[in-house]
Amino acid sequence: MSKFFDKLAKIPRLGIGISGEFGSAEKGINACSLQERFPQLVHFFEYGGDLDRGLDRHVLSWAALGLPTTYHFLDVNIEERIDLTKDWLIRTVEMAKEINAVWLCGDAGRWHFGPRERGHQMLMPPILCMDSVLESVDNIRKIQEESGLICLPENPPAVVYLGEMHILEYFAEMIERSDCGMLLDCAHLAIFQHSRGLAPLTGFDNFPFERVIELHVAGGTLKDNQGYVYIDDDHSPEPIAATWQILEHVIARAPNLKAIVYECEHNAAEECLANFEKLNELFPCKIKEIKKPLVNQ
Amino acid sequence: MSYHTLQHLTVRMLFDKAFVDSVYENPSSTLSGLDLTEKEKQQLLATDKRAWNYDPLRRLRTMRTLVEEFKVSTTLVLSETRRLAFLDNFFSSQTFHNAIQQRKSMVLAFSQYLSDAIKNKELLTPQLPDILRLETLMVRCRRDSFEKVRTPALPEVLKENLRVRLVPGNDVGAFQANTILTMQEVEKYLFEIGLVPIMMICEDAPRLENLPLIDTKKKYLLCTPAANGVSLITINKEDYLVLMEGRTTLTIAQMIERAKDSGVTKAKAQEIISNALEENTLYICS
Repeated sequence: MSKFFDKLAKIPRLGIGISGEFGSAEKGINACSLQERFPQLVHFFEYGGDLDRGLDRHVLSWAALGLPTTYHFLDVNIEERIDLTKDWLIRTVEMAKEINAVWLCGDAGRWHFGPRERGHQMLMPPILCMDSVLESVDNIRKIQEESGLICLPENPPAVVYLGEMHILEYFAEMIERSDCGMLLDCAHLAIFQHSRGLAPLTGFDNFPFERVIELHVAGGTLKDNQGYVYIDDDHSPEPIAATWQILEHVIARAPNLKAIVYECEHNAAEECLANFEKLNELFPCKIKEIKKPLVNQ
Repeated sequence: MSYHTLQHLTVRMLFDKAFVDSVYENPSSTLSGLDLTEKEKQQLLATDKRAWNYDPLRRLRTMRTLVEEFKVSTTLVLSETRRLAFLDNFFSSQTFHNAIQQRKSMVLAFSQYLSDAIKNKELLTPQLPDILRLETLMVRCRRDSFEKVRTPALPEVLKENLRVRLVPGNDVGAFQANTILTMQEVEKYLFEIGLVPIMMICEDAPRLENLPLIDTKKKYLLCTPAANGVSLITINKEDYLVLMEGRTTLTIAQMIERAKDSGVTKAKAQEIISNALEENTLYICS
C-alpha cells in the first residue's frame, strides 16, 4: 500500500461540507449558523485561503467547535515550480494546522500570472500536456512531504483549455505519479466537456477512481458571448444536469470518497437546502456528536 | 518549457482583443520569437477566437487594482487627459505584454508605462513625475515587506566590519517639497467625489484644480512597513544620504565612507546607522 493510502485509512468520512473564504460568511451563508440549524445536513467546512488575507473569524469559530475543516489554497500555481516557495508552504501549513484542516486541496493550474502579488489573481487551468503534469507532480510531492498533510489537486474551471490531453487523463497521470488523491470538481468537469463538445462522462475509462477523495458541486449558467456559448462557473444555487450526472457516476465508483463540498456560500441558505438534502441522500454520513468548545469563545 | 510560454501568452490574449486579432491574422509574425512548438501554435489557433473575449470587464477590474495602488498618479493622469482610454491602453501596450510574457510585476510595468508617457511628453502635469515616483516607491516597499529576513540581536558594540542593509519593505526617496501636500489635496478631492461618484458625468462636477505648486526644495521620506501596508516618515537629508546606501549590502565602514563622500560626517553617519539598526530599518546580514 502506498504512503497516501496509509494516511487516507486514518481519515474518517467527512460527509457533506460547505465552502467559504475570507469574509464570505458576512455576505452569504454563515456555515456556523447553517450547521447549528441543520446539523444533519452540513458536516464540515472547506476554507478557501491565501497568504494575503489569512484566516477569518468565521473559520476560527467553526474550528473552535471541534468540527472538521479542510484548507483549499487560492494562491499557488501547482503547475509552476518556482511559485511553490518555502515561505508559502510554511505559512499555508501554519494556517491549515491552526484550523485543524484534515487535508490541503485546491485547483491545480495557476491562481495568478507572474509573481504572487496584488492584481495578478486569475484562475487558469494547466496546459494539458505531460511536461505540465511532471512539474505539478514535483510540487504536489513537495507539499505532501513537507506539510505532512495529504494534498488533493482539483481540476480547475476555464473557458479556454489548451493542450492535447483530456483533463481526466491529465489528472490521472498527476495523481498516480504524485501518490496523492484528487478533488474532482464535477461542475468544472462539466464545463470542460462542454468546451470540447464532449458528453459529460467522456474520459472516465481507466480513471483511478480509488484516488477520488473529494467532490465539488456548484451551480453554473449557460452564457453567450457573440454566439460563443460557454458555461459560467458562477456558483449559483442550481448545478446543471451534467454536473449531477458526473457526481452520481463518480459516487458509485469511488470507494475512498470521503467528502463532498457544495460550493454555494454566496447564495441564500434557503435556496440551497434542497440540494444539501439531495447530497446527503446520495452520500450518507453518520454525524458524530459535536464537540463543544472547552472555553467560551 | 514551452508550456510556460503558452500560459503567459494566454494571459496576454485574455487581456487584449487587438492582440488576439493579430495572433489569428498573422500568427507567424505575432508569435515569432516565442518558445512555442508547432503543435502548441496549432492548438492555440484551433480555439474559437470568440472564447478569448468572454470577460469584457477583465481590463476594468484589473485597472481598479492598479488605480488603488497609484491613486494619486492616475487621478492626475485622468484629470489631464480626460480619457479613460489612456489608462486602458496600458493593457495593449508593449510594456504590459513584455511584463506578462517575462513573468514580471504588472503593477511595476504600469508605473513604467506612465513614466514613459511622462518622458515622451504625453503627460505634462508638473506634479506627476514625483507623485509617480513616490507611489512606485510605496508599491515596491509593500511587496518587499512580504520578504522575511532574520534580524539577529544587536551586539553591544557595532563593529565596522558588520554587513548591513535595509530591511525589506524599507526604502528612502527625495521628492519635491510639495509632493505630500499634493497627495493630500488629491485624496481630499477623491473623498469629495466619492460621496456621489455619479456627479462626474455632470458638466458642473468639481474638477481637480489649484494643486500646490512645485517647490524646488526637496523633502526626504522613509517608506516603512505598517499594519495596513506602508507608511511614510519625513527624515532629514543626512538620514536619506546614509540610508540610501543600504539598498545594497555593505559593511558599516563602507556605508560611512560613501556617506562621507556625500558630505555626512563620520560621527553623524555612525549615529544614523546605529539608530536605524535599533529601529529595524537596517539589519545585520549574516
